[in-house]
Amino acid sequence: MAFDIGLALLVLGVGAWTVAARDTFAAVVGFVAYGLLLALVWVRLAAPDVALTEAALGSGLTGGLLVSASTRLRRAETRAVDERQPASLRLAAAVLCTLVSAGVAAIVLLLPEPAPTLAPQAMVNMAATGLGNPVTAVLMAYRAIDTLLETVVLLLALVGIWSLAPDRVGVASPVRAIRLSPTGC
Amino acid sequence: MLGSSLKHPAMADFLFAAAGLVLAMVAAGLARILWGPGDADRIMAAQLLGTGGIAALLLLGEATNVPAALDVALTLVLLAAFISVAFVKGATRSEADGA
Amino acid sequence: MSAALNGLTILAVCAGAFFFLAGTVGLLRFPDTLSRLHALTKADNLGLGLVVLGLLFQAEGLLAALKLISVWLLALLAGATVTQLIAHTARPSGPQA
Repeated sequence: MAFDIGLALLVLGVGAWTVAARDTFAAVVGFVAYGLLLALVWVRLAAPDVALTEAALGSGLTGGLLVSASTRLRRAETRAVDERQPASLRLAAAVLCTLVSAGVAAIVLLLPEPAPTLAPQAMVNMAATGLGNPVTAVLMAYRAIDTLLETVVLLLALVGIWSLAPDRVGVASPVRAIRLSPTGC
Repeated sequence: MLGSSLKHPAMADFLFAAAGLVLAMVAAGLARILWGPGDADRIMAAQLLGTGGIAALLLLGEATNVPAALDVALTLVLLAAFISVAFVKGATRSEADGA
Repeated sequence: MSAALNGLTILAVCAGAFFFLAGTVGLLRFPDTLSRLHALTKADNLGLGLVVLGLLFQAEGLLAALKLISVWLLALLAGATVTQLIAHTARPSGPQA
């Protein structure tokens, strides 16, 4: 019990520090640490699959993406710090975020118990799909058109980025030579 | 093989306490992310958090009898290497840019 | 038999926790980036290794034992590679300065 409380406090502390950090690179390091602690939380909540996804995608890949973005933005960062928004705008944003968080918390706390679920029907019909895993059955059989259209959306987004990005940014061509410095890093 | 499925409850408590201890120490190491006068120090604190988190995860999995925690730890250790390399590349490239 | 295994687990896990403590204290208190890196590697290798050793005695089945050992070996590999890179970041010019 004390372990769970300590873990929750640690997660909150690291999250608060990540938001308040001055330097973008430091914030990204805090974000990866936060994702790692969240994976621990998921294991404590008896959801190891979600913990795997959180560790691999939420903190691993997303952290790598954010580091790469933060290095590209380093030059623009000094200018952005100088252009601070007026205090009233920041206060309005803070109030809006608090309201949205309170709304989400209220919804989660007011969920009906036991939660309504289609899991029994999904399991009953799984033999007809020929798949072993119920999650795979949902993604590939019951909601197959949904998955297909998601792929189309991703492809369109990628084509959009390739078409609209200016050449100097370097994302326009799908094959780009990666230059290594003599030290290899 | 080694060990039995029936764990002595004191053993589970001990492993739980050990996981908490490792986590507390790693949390203390997070202060280095706060202070660290350079990016290298921050990367090191993140690396310690990764290794400590893996150790805490292994201990937790054994204490609460969740065998999947071992798989999560395996995923984490693979990612820790790549993320640390990505951090180092990010730190060096920005310094080379003169920013 | 299982009491002896439990005792060994307790011993190894305590030693591993001690090394984590030493590594953390070193990371916080050492004056220089490179010496902090040295402390970090002790926590990495020995701390995790002793914890894995302790848990090996509790492992059920060959697959779990192999997974535990591979976690430690991969952490060693990652640590060895990354500490070289971090040291290069901290002092790219070499032993002097």
